[in-house]
Amino acid sequence: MNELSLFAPAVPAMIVGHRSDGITPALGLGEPFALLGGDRLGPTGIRFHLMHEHQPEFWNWVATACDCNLANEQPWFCGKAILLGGKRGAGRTHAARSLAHVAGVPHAILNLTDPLIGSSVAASAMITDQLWALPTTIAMAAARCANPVVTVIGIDRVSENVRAGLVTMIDPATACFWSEDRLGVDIDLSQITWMIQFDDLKNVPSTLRKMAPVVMLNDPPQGHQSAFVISIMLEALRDCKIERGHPVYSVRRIAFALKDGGYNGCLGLYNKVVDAIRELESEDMYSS
Amino acid sequence: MQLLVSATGSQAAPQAIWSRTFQCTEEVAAVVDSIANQQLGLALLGHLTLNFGVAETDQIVDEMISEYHKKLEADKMAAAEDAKNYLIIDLLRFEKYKLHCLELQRKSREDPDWFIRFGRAAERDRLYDWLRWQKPRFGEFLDYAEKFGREGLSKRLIAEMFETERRVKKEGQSAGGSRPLRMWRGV
Repeated sequence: MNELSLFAPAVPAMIVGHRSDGITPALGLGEPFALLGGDRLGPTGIRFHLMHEHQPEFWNWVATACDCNLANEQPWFCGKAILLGGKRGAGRTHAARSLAHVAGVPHAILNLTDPLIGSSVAASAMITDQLWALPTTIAMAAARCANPVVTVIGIDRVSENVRAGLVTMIDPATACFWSEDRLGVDIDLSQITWMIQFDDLKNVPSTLRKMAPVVMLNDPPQGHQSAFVISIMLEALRDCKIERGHPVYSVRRIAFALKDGGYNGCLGLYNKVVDAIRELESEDMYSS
Repeated sequence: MQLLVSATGSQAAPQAIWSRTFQCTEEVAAVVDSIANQQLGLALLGHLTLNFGVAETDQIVDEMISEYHKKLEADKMAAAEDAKNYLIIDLLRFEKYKLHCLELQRKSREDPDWFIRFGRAAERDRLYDWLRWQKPRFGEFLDYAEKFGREGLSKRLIAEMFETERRVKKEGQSAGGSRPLRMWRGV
């Protein structure tokens, strides 16, 4: 009698890359890519571990997105698109990276002010001087995941063509077959969570404003005893590849190494935390 | 003490993620106060425990208890210092708003325990010449003031001063003038 294998829940997947000429798409884009985060949509999942209670508007949007995914019986995380506002240093990229981490999906940055990326986004099917695929495509292909979180930077500082190109990538009607010119592949971007950072809402296309709700971030709290600081510490520890059990993986040690309580914005704090971690690592190395 | 965690909107029973026993209920109260009063709220403690482990939370609670004991010790020291300063009484002589003042003040207090004001400096100094040699009796004077009021003590001091002046004059040691006890050195 055959033995029954243990039950393992299936991971939903989709094929994101399509070619009309029948050739196998590059980067494995023609293979099924996982749609992740479905096991974390409940109350003890993404919203519980996000650690963004200090940003109630953002936290509520994440909770609503999770609830919508559950209500639509869509077992993966997809928040569609939001326009993320707030002062510089409020932690917009940190919020996106934290969301990607707790959802278990990759995070990519699409900097529209980069000339190559801007021209690729703007031209779409036209010939461009792009060198390779967009960071979104690379992130999806590298992680074999169809629903990454993508931070878009510079929407209010680029030309009309680039903005229109981005709208094409996000609009549900056109996002399913966005043309990746250099690869000759139509990419399905419909399951990406777009977090579009803006400084001036007036310069954001009205079509995008209709598609994406505006979520404003508050100024980060000062001092070393807040969920925000802990959240930055965790991000820095992940980036430094320091895992639980490592002597430096200690909030008290890092807080002590930070010395003073002042920091200039989220990035400033992140840099200080990374410096503190490196300092502690070298201290430990010399003492041993 | 247990730290229970429950996700918003979850139907599941709260889960204990950290627990600890304390030596006395005062320590428990100190930790609860510390969590309630500081930025380090319960939610943050929960995040810390979940992300950094129970050892980290234990160390933070250890610090809270150590802070509590330090505060207790500091309070004890302050109380002892206060008690010591209560017994130290200074006699102050100065001029304020064109009035010539004498004050008796305990070191433990911000305000004078007894004071008297004169319109002329010579009057104030006449009493001062006598009062400055009564230092060992300052405590007794303030007890008297507590019992009979500021004016009651003023009357007693002036009466004792006159009596001393008469005695000193009899002994032929008075300096004469408006400050007869100016050259007097007590007893």
